[in-house]
Amino acid sequence: MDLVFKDKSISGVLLVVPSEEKFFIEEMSNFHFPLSRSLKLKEVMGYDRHRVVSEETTATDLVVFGMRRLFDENLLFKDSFDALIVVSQSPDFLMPSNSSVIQGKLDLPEDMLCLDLIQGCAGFLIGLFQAFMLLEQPSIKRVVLANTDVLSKKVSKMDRNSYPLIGDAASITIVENGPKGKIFANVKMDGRGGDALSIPAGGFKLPSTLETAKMVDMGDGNIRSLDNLKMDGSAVFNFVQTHVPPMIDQLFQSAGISDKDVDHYLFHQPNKFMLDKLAEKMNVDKKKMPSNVVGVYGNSSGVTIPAALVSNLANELKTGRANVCFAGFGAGLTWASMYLRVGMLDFCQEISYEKETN
Amino acid sequence: MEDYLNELARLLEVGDVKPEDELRKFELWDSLTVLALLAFIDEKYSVLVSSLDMADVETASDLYKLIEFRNLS
Repeated sequence: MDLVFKDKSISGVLLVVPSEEKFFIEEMSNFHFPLSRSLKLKEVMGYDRHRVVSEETTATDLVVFGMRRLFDENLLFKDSFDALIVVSQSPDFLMPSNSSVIQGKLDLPEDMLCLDLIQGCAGFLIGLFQAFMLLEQPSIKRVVLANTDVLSKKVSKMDRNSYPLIGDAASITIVENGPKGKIFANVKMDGRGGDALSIPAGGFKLPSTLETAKMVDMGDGNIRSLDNLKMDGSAVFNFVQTHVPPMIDQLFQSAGISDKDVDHYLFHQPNKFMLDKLAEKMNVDKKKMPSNVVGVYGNSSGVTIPAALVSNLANELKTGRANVCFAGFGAGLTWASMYLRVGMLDFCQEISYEKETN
Repeated sequence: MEDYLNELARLLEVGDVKPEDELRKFELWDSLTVLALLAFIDEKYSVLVSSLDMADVETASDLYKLIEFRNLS
């Protein structure tokens, strides 16, 4: 469906990444794959480094760390926002929700709406939709949108389908009213394809047990358990190639624009291969579509679009404005896109998460 | 079919691939080769082949027949 939002904007983006970098070259021996093939995989997919959290760090830790930094630097104040949206598939607990945990840890005011959204790789778009809708309320003047995932904890280190690309990260995006202007977007979903990206065990349907934790060879040399994240790489590839280009066509049509109007395509970053194939299929100049996030930070689900923005456009968007096309696609299945003007950001930077003592 | 067999040979890093060759017998027939091949088929023939389709494919020509069938239908 097509969506239109009026007079809303992004005023700041902070990316929080774990300080520890892991290197594909060092992890290759975990995969049951000849060395030369691993190197080929690295080249084709654009794998190199990725950031993963240590055992004790959770999704809310990353957000709390980032928000404290914003408070410390007077870029955000505890009483200057009215809603906290947390988009994540990495809940600290089944109850209470991550947004409530964060509110408690940061000692935020009671007069606030805390809301969790369970979304994967389209989570930045779905979060923005929700933030824009909340801003229609007179009492809600500013929304903090936090995207955070630590899914490396759910990926088997012996699964070369998923481990080389996984990354952990959080982003904090400030969303508010004004200046005047329309924002065009669209979204589609298909729950029938949900198996392509899933974590089979650990929920109410199939609780984690010793049985679900058993590591099994999946027949292709990848070893994982039912507790682990499972990705059907070719199904995801087909889904993206068939669904994303028509979605962008539809977005262009509803916004009345063409490729010439778009300065940057900031798409979800599954791997370099998939983005290159998308750019080719859409006839888009690859220079306008960064694909470097997976090789620098890893694929951090809903955080990859803010990561692409901060790591490629920080200077441009702090001092000027650009017409940007966002697209997210993944678990659900969900696919969504947005065309908007972004810029004159109060902040647009990356910080490294360090474990806090308190 | 020639373009298809040439691309297959390039991805499998062998001299040539014959229509009757069984794909699983090639040393480099793995998930990476399959993905690269699916991307080539999509680009060249505008046909998307899924991993489910691949389960029934044994020889190089089996896959080509599938592409032709999808391309026509």
